[in-house]
Parts: sequence; structure tokens; C-alpha cells
Amino acid sequence: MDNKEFYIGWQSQAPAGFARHTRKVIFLLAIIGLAMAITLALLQKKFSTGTFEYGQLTEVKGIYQAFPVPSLRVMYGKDAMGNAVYMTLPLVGYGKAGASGVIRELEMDNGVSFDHKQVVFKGTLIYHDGKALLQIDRHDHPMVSVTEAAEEVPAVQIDLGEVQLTGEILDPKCYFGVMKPGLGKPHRDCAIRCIEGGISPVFYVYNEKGEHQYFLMLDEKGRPMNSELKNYVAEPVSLSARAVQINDWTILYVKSGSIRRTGGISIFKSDIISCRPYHN
Amino acid sequence: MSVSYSAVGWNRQKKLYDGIIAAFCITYLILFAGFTWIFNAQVTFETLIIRSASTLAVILLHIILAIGPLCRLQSKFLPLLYNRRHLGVTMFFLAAIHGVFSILQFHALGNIHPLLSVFVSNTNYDSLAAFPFQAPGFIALIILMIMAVTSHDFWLHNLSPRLWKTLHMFVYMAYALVVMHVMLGVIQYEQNPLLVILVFTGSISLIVLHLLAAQKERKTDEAKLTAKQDGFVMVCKITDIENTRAKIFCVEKERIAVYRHEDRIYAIHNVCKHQGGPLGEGRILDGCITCPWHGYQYLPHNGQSPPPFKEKVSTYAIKIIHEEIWLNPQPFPEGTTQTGAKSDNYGQ
Amino acid sequence: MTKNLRIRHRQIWALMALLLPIGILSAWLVIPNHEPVKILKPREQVLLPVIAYTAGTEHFQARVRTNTDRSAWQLEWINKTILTTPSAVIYKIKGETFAPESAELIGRIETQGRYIFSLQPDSTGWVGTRLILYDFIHAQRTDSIKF
Repeated sequence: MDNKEFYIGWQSQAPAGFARHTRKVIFLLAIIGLAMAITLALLQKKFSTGTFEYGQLTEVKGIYQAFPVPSLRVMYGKDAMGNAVYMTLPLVGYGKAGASGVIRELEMDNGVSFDHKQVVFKGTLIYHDGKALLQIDRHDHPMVSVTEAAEEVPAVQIDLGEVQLTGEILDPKCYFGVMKPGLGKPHRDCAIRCIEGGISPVFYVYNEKGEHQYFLMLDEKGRPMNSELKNYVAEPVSLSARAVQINDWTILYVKSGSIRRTGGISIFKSDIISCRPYHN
Repeated sequence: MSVSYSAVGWNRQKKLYDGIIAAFCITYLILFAGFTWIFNAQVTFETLIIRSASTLAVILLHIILAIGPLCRLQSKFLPLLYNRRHLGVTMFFLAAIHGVFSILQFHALGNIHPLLSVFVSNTNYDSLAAFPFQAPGFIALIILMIMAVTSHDFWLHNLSPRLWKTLHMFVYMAYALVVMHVMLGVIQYEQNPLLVILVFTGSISLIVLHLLAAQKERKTDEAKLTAKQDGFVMVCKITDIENTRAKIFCVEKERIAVYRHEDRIYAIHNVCKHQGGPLGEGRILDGCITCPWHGYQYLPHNGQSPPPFKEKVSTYAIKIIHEEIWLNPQPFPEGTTQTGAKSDNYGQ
Repeated sequence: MTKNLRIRHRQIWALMALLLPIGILSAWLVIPNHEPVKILKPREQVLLPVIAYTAGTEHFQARVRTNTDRSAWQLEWINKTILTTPSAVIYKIKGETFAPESAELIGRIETQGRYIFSLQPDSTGWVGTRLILYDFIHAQRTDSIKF
């Protein structure tokens, strides 16, 4: 570069030496920047195959139950013994809200309690990994019909005993399809809002073989425990609970005060998070 | 340089600068979105917007913060400085897209106001691992917004350059908050060590550049001027200064630019009234001392911008003894005319 | 820039030189570790020893198992990938025509992993038998495996 050259921004042309240098710098920055675009795009973890059927309403017929969580028991056939078999679809409301509010409104509109009645709801399906939820939104006019259930087949219950598990507390609406990622730290605030808004929390556990398990969470007395979970959402925690399988979901009756963070300094904590035996 | 703040002069260099910014940003967004879409097709539209805008904003923030020290270390980078505020405003818009989409996605449609939710959903402020990382991100966004809003010369003039510069130094705080926002947020989920290395490399590069530039400046500021006589200090020989150029001396508290123009020596305050650019690193063009940062001009004998412009800087008394330049660091009021000193004269 | 501003810049970056690396490294070290852990295994049926028939696709593996005297039968079903439908039940049909009302329901599958279903003895054998994967919520057939 000519030492006599002097750059002034308001001149229409930069001196040749400055222009040459600037071209080189911009070229280099552009290459680095665009390489970063590709690198950062490729470094992202794979997003889940969860689905939120946004804008698509589906009618689902089932028996409404308020316990363990507001949900529909949908009969899909009969087993070899001739017994009806069911899939349970937990219900969620619009936005970051549980279904209780909209159910209460619909019950008042219809002048009847839905518990153990056969209802047909029109809603938006959310599903992933073999589990499904149904969003019922007042704006979608979700109530199609409510009738007495033709037959009330009691739920199959299997007591799995006391367990100690390590996993992550999720808000199922986001995890099973509405958001990606719907778990972990970036999603933590949203999960807290969803759970505080009444969406039934789910405990997610997975093992080294890639097997996943999802549990519904209630307190020891079988009541919702959303407000107690706020500080433990979306991070690895351990808990003690009594596990009871009710049809196709397992319920954790979480012992009071048993939830513990399993975090800490990463390099020291391999012994903290280990394969914990469960007692049956 | 302007007497009013009506319109920005869209000269060729500015158009080119803005065109390059736009082309780079568009290409980046297309590449990020495209590669994500091809290799990770399950992504949602919201996540794509949140991530593409945020990564680009962080890259631009690094470039913006590197331009200052690069220019202090090597004047050839000055063309990057000239329109840096457009780069800053672009970066803010991208950060705002990230922030608005994130707040809508993670905090809207809940049982409390979304902005309140940013601060009270996760309340583990006492835990580093569980720290509510969105709060520092939000504060950084507010800082960047204030800077973007006040980036126009109207605010520079009305707030005074000193206050404006001080205000804009909050960008460093915003940068630190952004780094922690990234480290305590998405990195905890992604966990790829390469991402940590990238963040670390970016921060270390900026730290090194800024410390090198600061060291260079410190040498100038701490240069010892020992020869003193009647309130004057000897700064250098006449032959040390090229015609139309200057040397900078830090006498007592402030830097003074000593210029040589048509065989006369003049001294003016080194700090440009516009953005505090180093006038002593400029040169004389068309009879005016021209600031290297944005081309603001001052007449060497009185430190005034040529009419109709109104900027003024202090001038200083100069005398020459045996071909040595002696400077009186006591400033005259801004815009005071001085005749300068000639090599074959004593004093003026 | 004024001298004060220069000093403030220097002080800020000296502070950043200290705090940023500490912040980055400590934030990295405290990342909670998501180590895989043991999952809860309800009592599972014991797999019968003899594999009589096997078939599969890229997403599923199906094995018809029996014991040595062929008195008991099982379907061992492995979900190799994550399901992408809201519901998935397995029906057994002979031939090509499928109607959920008339087909034999084997059971429902959910998350990735192994499922074991008891089967009724089938004297006609499994060759040509088809397992249909049916999404009853959307009322659509989503996959099938032929033996």
C-alpha cells in the first residue's frame, strides 16, 4: 500500500491500496462466515420426529377420565380373551394450559360431568414415539358429543412397587410434538410455563440401548403436583416413587421431597449419575 | 459531517458496504436454513428462525467488536469502520428477531405476561448450571436496542460524544451477557465441544485484539516528554513530521496532534468532535485536517470545521527552537486562531 | 477517544480477559450430564427359544417364536425406529384383504424396543401371513410385513 494513501469514507472511491486490502478482508470474512453457517447448521442435534398436526382437526371418541390426568381412553379393539383394550390420550389445552379449564367450561355448557362418559372431541393431535395427546381448544369448538359409556371396563392396574429413577421432567405437549427441541435447557422456561399452566408433567427416562419410557407424575396421594416441580424441570433429576401401571401409562406417585438434581461439575459426576437399581 | 441530521449521504462506499452486509446476511440465512432443512428436516419453522438469526447475530457481533482494535493496529482496516453502525443496526435486528420469536415461542400463551415470564419462570439465579439463561440474553438485547436507537448522529450530537461513547461501551457488557446466554443455554443442550471451542475462540480473539490495541495506545499515552521550558515541552524535531501529516503526543492528560502544513507547524486537540476519532492519524486534504474515521474536517490554524459546519476543537501554542518543536499543553478555547510556527522563527 | 475512555476500554478488556474464560469454562463444566440410566422394566414374558418364522422391514423386525413341542407361540416385535404415527396396532391377516373389524388383533406397540405378544397356535403356518400395522386414530394402514 502506498503510504501516501489516505482513506476517507465519504469519497466515492477508496484508494487502491485500501480497496485491495478491504476486498481481501471481506472475502476472508465471507468465507469464514459462510463456513460457519454450514458448520453450525450441521452441528445441531437431530430434531425429533414428533408431530403437532397444526391446523388439522381430528375427531377422537373415547371415555373421558379426570384421573390420573384429564384424558380419553380410546378403545381400539378386543384382545384374544374378548376384553376391550384401550389407548390413553392425555388432553391438553390451547397454548401453555392444561385441559382442565376447557373441560370445565364444556361441562358447564353441556350441564353434565364428563367423567366416565363417552365423549367425542375434535382437536389437534400431538404424537411421538408411540404416545399421543389431543389438544382441545375452545376456538375449535371441540365438543362433538357426550353420551353414557356403553360399558365401563375397569382400568388394568399393575403395582410395580417402589422405584428410584433418574430422568427429566418434561412438559409433554412440547416434547411430543409442538416444539423442537421440546426438552433440555433451551426449552426449560417454556416447560415451566406449560406445567404451571396445568399441563400434566411427564417423567422421561432412557437407557443406553435407546429405549425410552414416559411416566405420568402425581404426588403420593394421587394429586397433581405441577407447582412442586418448577425448580426441577428440564434437567437430570432423580426421584423416588411408587409406580403403578394403569393401562398403557405408568403413573409415578412421587414421594414428597424425593426429587434431587443429579447435576454438578461434569468431570466429577460420573459416579453420581450411575445405573440405579430399582426395587420391585 | 453535517449541520443537520436529515439524510445520510448514500455515497458509493456506503452503498457498497450495505450491499455487502445484505448479501452476506441473506447468503448466511439461506445456507443455515438450507443445510438444516436438508440434513435435519424435522426442524420447526420457529426454531429455524430463532437459530439462524441468533447465530448470524453472534458472528456479526464478533466482527463489529473486532473492527475497532483492528483499525487501531492497522489503518488499512478503516474502510470497515466507516459504516460500522449499519453493521451494528443489522446485528440488532437479527438479535431482535431471535429475541421476539423466542419470547413468543417460550413465553407467550402462558398464565403470566411473556416479558415477566422471561425473569420469573426459571428462578434458579443461585445456580450456575440451572441459571435462567434467557435473562442475560434479554438484557443484552435491551442494550443493543438502546445502541441501535441512538446510533444516529442526532443522538451523538445531543448526548455529547463523551456520553454517547460511554453509552456505546455497554456493548462490551452486552457481549459478555451474550456469551453467557449461549453457554448457559443452547450449549447445555447441544453439548458439542466444538461449539464450546468456537465460543472460546471468538472471545479469546476479541480479548487479544483489544489488549494489543490497548497496549499500543498505552505506549503513546505514556511516552515521556522530559524537556520543559516556560510551560512548553519539547515533543520532536521538525523533520520527524511529514508534510500534511501529524504526530500525536500525550502531554499531561490529553493527546495533541501536531501537524505540518505548508512548512508551518500547528497543534490541535487530537479528539474529533464527531466520534472521538484520532485527528493526528488523519492528514491534510484541501487545506483541512481530515479525521481518518469518518472524514470530519478542521482547519489547522483554528481547529474549526470549514463553514457551514460548526465543529471546533482546541488549539495550542507552538514554538520552534533549533529545529525542535516545543508545545504548550495549555489549550486555547476551541476554535482559537493560531498562526502556527515556522522553522526559521522563534515562536510565532 | 479521550484518555479516560482509552483507560476505561483497557480496564474493561482486562476484566473481560479474566472473566470471560472463567465464565465459559465454568459454564461448560457444570453442564448437567444426561447419562443414560436403567429404565423400569415391568416383568416381561420370557422369550420362547425357537424362532419359527422371521420377517422385517427397515423399521421393524418380527419373529414368530415357539417352544420345542410347539405348544406355545409368541410374536417378538422390535421397533427399530421411533414411530411417527399417533397409534400403531398390529393385526394378523391371511391374504391381502385387510379390515380391522375382521382381522386378528395382536397388540399395540409404542416406544422403540422389544415387544412380546402371546399368539394362538396357527395350524396353517405363517408362510404368506401378513402383519399389518394400523393407525386406528387416523384409521389408516401404515405398514405391513409378509412372512
